[in-house]
Amino acid sequence: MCIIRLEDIMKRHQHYPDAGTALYAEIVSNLQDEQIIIDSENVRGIPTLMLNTSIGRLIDEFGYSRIKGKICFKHMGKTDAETLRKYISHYISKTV
Amino acid sequence: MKHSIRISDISQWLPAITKIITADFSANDEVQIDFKEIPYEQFTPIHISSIACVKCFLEKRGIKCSCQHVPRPTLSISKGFNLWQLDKAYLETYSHNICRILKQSFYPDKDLSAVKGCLNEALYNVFDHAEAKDIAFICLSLDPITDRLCVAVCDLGLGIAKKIRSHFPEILNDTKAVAMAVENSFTTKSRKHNRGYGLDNILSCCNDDDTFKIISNGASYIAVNDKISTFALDYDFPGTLLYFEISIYMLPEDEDIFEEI
Repeated sequence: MCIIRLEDIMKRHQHYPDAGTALYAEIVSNLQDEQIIIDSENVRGIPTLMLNTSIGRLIDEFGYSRIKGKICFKHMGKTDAETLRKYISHYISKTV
Repeated sequence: MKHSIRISDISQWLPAITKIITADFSANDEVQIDFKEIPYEQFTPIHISSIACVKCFLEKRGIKCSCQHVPRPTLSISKGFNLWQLDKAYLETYSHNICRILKQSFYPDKDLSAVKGCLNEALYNVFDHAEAKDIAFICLSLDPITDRLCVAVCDLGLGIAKKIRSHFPEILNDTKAVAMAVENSFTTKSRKHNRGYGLDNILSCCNDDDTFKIISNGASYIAVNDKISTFALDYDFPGTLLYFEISIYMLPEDEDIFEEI
């Protein structure tokens, strides 16, 4: 199991698309782990343009089935969780 | 040469400022815009952000511009209009600071992710698509009685409709183009990270009685009370004006949850 602290990534990358790309890279380098936990503590208001360069790109390149059940967000805000759910559902329906 | 312009009817605001932007002023002209007949309470972030764009636009061309009887922007969110000229270097700092102020001063228990997310989507929209050459402002005001945050982002760039139609020539009018801009997954892919979820995401954060509005080029899109209306304008607004409201009292309490993909 690996834990990625989102706040650390945000501190290193000022702009959301760049932070998303960095998150993508960290997830990819840990894809062999059984579970990847993204700790969203102190991070709120994740915009879709960060999801595009992280989760969206993962789905594009590896397929949803490869990441389903593997990636979890801890300490996530309710609204962000809702945005994420909606994002993934739209993304999958678009790519299928 | 000095030009005095009086805007007395707020319903004619955007046609009036469109006329100013497209007027044939020369460098070193002086333009004085007077809003004396418009009551203070009729001003909204739409008016403040758009007039800031006009002033910036004229001054960039060496034309002096003064605005009279218009509310002065303040640093406060709840008392007047908070105005900021968009600067990509401070984009995330801006949305972060606005949410911090809202949290510390007004809503310590609320999950303000929606506010931050919407601000980020709206601001990135300008940088990613508008080609506005710095003529872009955001204005927001909070009504602490109704707990509603009103946000307007105005830029004098290409305009959403023009941008979309240049990408998709088969779209024959601005009204259709603006409606498509709001559709989920519709994108001109101006940047690699664009996927077309931004405007839809903002719209989905608005409640039924919140207003979501886009005015761009020759079209207007308004969503309020579960009704969407799009219509052609009889003027061509040279850019994009995005306006939305977020009812903060409807936002959930701030608590951490565990979410599995």
